[in-house]
Amino acid sequence: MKLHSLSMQNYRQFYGEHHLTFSHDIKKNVTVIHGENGSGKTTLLNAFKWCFYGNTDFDTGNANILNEQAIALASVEEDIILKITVEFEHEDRTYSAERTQIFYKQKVDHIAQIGSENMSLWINDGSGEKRKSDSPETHLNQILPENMHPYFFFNGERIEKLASASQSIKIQQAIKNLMGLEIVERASQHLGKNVKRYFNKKMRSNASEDLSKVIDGENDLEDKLEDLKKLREQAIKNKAAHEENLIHVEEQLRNIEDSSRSQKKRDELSKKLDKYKDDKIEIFKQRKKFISKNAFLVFAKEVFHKSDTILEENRAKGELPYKIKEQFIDDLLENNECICGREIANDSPEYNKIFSYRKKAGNIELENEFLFTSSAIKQQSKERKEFKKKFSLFQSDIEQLDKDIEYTASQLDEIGYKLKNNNHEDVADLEKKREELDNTIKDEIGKTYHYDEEVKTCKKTLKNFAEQRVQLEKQSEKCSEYARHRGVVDTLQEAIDALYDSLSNQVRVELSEKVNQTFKEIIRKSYSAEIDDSYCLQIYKDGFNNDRQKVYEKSTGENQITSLSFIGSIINQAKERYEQETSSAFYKGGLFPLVMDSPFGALDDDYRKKIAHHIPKLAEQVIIMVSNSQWSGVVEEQCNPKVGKQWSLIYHSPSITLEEEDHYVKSSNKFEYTDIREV
Amino acid sequence: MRTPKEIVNELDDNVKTILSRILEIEKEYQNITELSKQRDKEISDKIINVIERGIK
Repeated sequence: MKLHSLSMQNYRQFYGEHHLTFSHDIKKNVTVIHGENGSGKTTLLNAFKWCFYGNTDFDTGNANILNEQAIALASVEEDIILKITVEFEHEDRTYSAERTQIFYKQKVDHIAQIGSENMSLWINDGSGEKRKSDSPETHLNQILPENMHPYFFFNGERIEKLASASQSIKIQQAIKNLMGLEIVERASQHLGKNVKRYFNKKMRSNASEDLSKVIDGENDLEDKLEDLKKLREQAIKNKAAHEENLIHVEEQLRNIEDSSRSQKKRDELSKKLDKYKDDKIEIFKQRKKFISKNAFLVFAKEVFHKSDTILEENRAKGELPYKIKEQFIDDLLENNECICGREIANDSPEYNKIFSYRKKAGNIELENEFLFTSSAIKQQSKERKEFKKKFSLFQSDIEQLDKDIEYTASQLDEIGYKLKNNNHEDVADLEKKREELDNTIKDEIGKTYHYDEEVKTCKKTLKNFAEQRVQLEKQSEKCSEYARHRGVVDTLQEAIDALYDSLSNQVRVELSEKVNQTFKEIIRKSYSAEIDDSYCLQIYKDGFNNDRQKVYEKSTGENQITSLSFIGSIINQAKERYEQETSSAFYKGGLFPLVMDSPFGALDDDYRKKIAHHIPKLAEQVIIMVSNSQWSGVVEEQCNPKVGKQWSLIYHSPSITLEEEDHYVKSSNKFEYTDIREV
Repeated sequence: MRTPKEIVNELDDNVKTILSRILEIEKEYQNITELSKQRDKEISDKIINVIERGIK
């Protein structure tokens, strides 16, 4: 997909008609839209979203998207048209997507919507004739799936959130979409529900009473399982939504003077608490490994003790170690010479006497075994003492971490208490809201755990039912055909579920490598990035011998770089899949533009320079919306050779005086609005 | 974790064919974000048909 133009009519602060074109030249693939804060950069980003999918990311939703000046200047009973058109090309065709909403000015202060929004999509396949799509929304979703949209059209000021744990569900979703895994997921759902039901019903009509009971039991459990899965999914979604709200509330607390310091302290303590909790998990893992390797030392204590006693008894009796070696007797007999030098004739009484000692002499292998076992037992005893010592160390580390966790948690509680009783009403209200959200998140986590346990029990019972069913099916010939079908459904569902897990993991690992590669090219520190197996974007500090430590204290800039690396990797992966179209991938990928609002926000000059250098390489077409301060200097220097088109958003407001005017900000007589001019 | 290839290879040939046909059916509906009940039934019926024809 390459964007050609965007036209807007009476949309937000853009009064009347406006038209922007974008560079789609491969060598100069960057279009820059300059604008100061509040001039409409984010509004432009949302213009694409509204046109394509009918929704926006504004806090007020679609409620205020009609231009205020258009409302004010319209006569009573006059229609006002809100329209956005995006022209683009995709796979050798050009498209024109248009969304319109007509409003009607009923009274001076009342605007009514006429009908619902109308979306149309015109396609030109190069023959010169344009045809209208019968199902524009579906068609557009085939070109750019709605759930992938946020990765290609994103707000740089919010992007850092991607690197927080609460976003793992979104990352997992992106991976699912990228790989086209919805079809695997849906296949499992269809098999597990309607298809299984169909064959169960067929079987039941020919089944014995016992078999019918088992089938009914299975059906009930399948229903329960499905409900549980839905409830679990909902709990995870709720948790993610509450976590986003929590981030928003904490951001507000950070910005209010009365609570800023406490909130920052809370941020610091929360990171500490997370670290302590992670450390505790790590110690548990190490302890488990240590126990599985060495616990025999404790359990085998009795065996070692008994063996040692037996060896000691033999030693005491003088039987072990042997006083005379077998080899020594053999040598005397073979040389026919006693140790005193006297000759010993064969079969003489002396010879036979010495020969009789041979039976008492020790076997060399047995002797070696004796020595080895004796020393090993002594060693085990030392190791057992070492084991106890190390085990106590693990215990004391855990106890220390428990104390740290408790202390940090109490400090956090104290901050919460102080903020809740703050004299500033907004602070107290926000803190109460924060506490509520925090509790709700904990509830949702608890629910997820509970559903997981219930799912496990259900699956166990289902397995029992399935075993009973297979036995009963054998007794009924009439059922056998459907039973075979039913068995295949189980095999298929099992394989499809395994495929889903395997494919998700495969894409996660591939993406993770790409993220790390991009991240390492940009980041100054010896850090690496990874999408871990919980689908969280993590940063690690690289150490010696492949040793690495999780980084808890990430700056906003580092979070932005991590998130940008992730988005860059998604685009790259989509491009690669597109180029390998013949592969067995479920999703064919695609070439997508990258439309970014303020991607340089929290970065210092060095990082801005590196990001600006990487951005044109990330996608076939790049549209950047930036403020003058973000653009000038290193960013401009790096991007300029790739810039094919530039636009300025000129913001007009009655509150701006003539003295405050500059190139991007102008005063106006009555209305607040934005003009667009080509640079 | 088993690779996708290993998972598929463990299946009987006719089950393999059914599996790939099911995924083809699902792919036809891939770009519909929300499947209606009617669509769900339509897809399920197609899958049932594939299984019935594939396993005699």
